[in-house]
Amino acid sequence: MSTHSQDQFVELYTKEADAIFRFCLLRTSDREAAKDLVQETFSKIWKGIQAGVSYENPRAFAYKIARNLIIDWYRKKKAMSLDAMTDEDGNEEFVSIDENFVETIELGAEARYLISKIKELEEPYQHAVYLRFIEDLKPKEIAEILEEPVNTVSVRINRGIEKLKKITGYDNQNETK
Amino acid sequence: MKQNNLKKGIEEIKKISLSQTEKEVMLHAILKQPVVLPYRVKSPFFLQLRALSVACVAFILIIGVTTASAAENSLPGDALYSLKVNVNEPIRGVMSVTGVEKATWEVEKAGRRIIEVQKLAAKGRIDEKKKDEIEQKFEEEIEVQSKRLDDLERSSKNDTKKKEIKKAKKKIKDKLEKIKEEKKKNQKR
Repeated sequence: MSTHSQDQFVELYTKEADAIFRFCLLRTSDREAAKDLVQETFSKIWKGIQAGVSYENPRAFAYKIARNLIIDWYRKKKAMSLDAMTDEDGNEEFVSIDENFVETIELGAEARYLISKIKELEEPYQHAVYLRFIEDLKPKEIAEILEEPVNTVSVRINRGIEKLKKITGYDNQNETK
Repeated sequence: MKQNNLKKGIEEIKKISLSQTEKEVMLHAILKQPVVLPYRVKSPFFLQLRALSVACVAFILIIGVTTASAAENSLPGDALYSLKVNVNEPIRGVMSVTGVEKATWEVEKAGRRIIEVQKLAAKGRIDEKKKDEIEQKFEEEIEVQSKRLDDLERSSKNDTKKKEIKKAKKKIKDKLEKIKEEKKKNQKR
């Protein structure tokens, strides 16, 4: 195993661990579970690197792994089928923050407000908006993570952000000084 | 002002993070993680064979990919088995990311253990109790992964995804058939 590979992995981990942690925490509302999911995500990537796998977009791949691990976590931890974690239309809900959990983490008022408004968006906008708006991922990367065509993702991002700005009151029309 | 509130909200969300200590401890754990063999074979020579297999893995890396494919038919206790479970299978595991890919791979991996067990049993290299345990685990795994695929199929609205799931379910069914055939073959010996 070359030190160059290890250096590359450590660089990826240093850059993305916090973002992946946020992604997991907002879905699980459980700090310890989120940490476990982060560790498992990067363990998988590291094992792949050791085995000679090279990743075209390691950042997107990390989110993709995390997303699927979260789905597994729900299935195992909460002992319910995917139906129970989806909304009425069968779409996977993005944010499952509960009010009690929000109180336990240090989160400013604006952040709480923004998260609650993202949660009000219909899926499939939630994922697209969070990944683009909060984590600055590119549409192509989000498409890879969500396993959807890039065009579909781009439309969702634009519509989702438009809706978000309206429901938060942060659109230009309502801006006051 | 409201645009500033939006920016502030994003900045505050981005402050959610692991502590420096948590990150360091986690990284250390990841880099030091060993790869564990699935089970031990009842063999008086296992320890010597294990040392031999470690040396063989180093030799195999020089020879190349053809040896990696040869390892696919190896059994616990064989020199190439370490390559099969420590190199070949982790590669497959890492590349299985989506729910469908993981379910398919988990069943295939469990199926490999069953085939290995059946071959070992035919050669008298594994006891009945261990064999029954592994067969039981295999059946449980099939049930878990089949339910997982059913859930995915129910919750999916994407036709391409539904086709992928149906294909995966067929693969699991074919795997089960293959396992049963192998069991019959080994029982006749």
